[in-house]
Amino acid sequence: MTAAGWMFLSCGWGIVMGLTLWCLYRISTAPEE
Amino acid sequence: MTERERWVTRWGLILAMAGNAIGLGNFLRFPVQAAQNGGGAFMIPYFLALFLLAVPLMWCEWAMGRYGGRHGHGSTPGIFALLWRRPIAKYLGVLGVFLPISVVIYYTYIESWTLGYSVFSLLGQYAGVTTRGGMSEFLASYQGLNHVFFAGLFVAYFFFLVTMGLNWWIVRQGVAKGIERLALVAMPLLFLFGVILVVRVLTIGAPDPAHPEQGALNGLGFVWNPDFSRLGDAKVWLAAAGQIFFTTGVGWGAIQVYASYMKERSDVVVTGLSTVMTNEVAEVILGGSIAIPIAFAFFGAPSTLEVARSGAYNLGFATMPVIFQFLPMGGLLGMLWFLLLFLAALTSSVALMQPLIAFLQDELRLNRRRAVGITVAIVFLGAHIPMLGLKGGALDEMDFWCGTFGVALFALIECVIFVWLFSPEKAWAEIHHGALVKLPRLFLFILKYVTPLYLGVLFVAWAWQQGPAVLSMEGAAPADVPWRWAARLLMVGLIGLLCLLTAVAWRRVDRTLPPHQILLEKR
Repeated sequence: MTAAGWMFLSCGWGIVMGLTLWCLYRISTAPEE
Repeated sequence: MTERERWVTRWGLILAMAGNAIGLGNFLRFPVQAAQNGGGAFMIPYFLALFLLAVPLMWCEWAMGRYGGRHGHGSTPGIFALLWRRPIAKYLGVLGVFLPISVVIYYTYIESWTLGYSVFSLLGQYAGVTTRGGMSEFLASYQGLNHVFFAGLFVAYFFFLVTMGLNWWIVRQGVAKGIERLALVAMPLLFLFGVILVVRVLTIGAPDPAHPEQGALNGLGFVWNPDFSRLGDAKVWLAAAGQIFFTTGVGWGAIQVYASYMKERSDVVVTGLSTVMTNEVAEVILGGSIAIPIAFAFFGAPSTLEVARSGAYNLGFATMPVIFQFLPMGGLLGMLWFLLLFLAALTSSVALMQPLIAFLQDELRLNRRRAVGITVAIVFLGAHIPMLGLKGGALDEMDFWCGTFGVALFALIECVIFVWLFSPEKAWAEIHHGALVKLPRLFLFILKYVTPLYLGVLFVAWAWQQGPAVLSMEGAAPADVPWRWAARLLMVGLIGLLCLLTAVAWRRVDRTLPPHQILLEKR
């Protein structure tokens, strides 16, 4: 695994986890329907 | 049914939608595609396609599904007829029923392999078959293509029957009691199995002391080390867009149906995005960290490349069982791997059956029990063609016309109908109806121009690249030709039947009231 590979992995996982957690936070703090 | 079915909980809806998207492709197709198409560099067109193609299209599908549900229509013939008041609209919508039912016809058969293999792993059925060639032969024997390990198709048929029975039992319970309950149990289990496997793979170290550099962590490089020279190859961009299509489940007609069971003012912007991102967690994080890294650790770089080139099924059913046999508690890990695939496939197959069920219920006013019975009977009978004609290429034939060509065509049609013919401002307003956040106007521009253009290019490229060869049955042995024609006849027959039923529904069925009110009045 090269340094560039680790960088791409970090970015990829970061985008995916970041957006997932943001969505879950917004949904869990939204008022009940 | 006293009123249109609804999801009971928001989390149930999210997990069911994520279950629809998460399938075999997340764990088998994605790592193979990434390893073959430039590793980390592949992720550039992959994420571009995700945010320019899949996410905008997903918002359209959620919004049009919820809009249709509000008017008593869950499947695309009814939804398209509402969005674009022309007689042809409902026939274009037939594609959104035809594609998922055609795909689930062969998908349930593949799903049954994963169930069979999870039992084989636990019972040690393939113990001692420690080469990839041997396991390929085992798979071929299971599929009835040789008699080395199995006398015929009986074992595969048994697991197919169990898989069909399970699918039938779940969809028969309905949306809330069947599909939602399945999602609430299956999805957490799937993620648990996935995390256990990822942890096991990444802590395996280097199994061969003679090659200490050959560890699973270095194996991640196959998926993530960027090869920027590949970005100049149009095939890499097409492969990335194709993977995004397969994995997110857009363009299949199933998302609209699930969305039609939402409450009227439920949010689609954040909830829809959360299901896409949950699918991405399963794909990019779990799917990318299991099969290819462990194959690298056990077989080294040249063989891993060969494994990736041999395709997703070989990776899942031939390579992984060999690896598990070298690990302590390999039988258990093998069972977890195949159960993970089975749960992923099961949550997708019940979703793919739902468009036809909803069509029969909403447009032909059948009760759920009868609609489910007809749908399951079509899937069960139709599956015999790809099952018996596997060697003859019947499955590949259906996979191209439905899983590649048809999906891109349907996605293009629905995008044009919702964004342009329904009108861009109305589409934008519908997406934001009850939304938890407001999207930047940039996404309206993407929806109007970028997504349809992207889809158009994709459709033309796929049709151009593969269409002539598939259409002319290039390279097919004479013995395969009848099976390929049988698959085509099945598809033409299905689309003809659905068009006929649509014509009947619009002529004979009273369309002045939503379906659930008519049922109430009949009572």
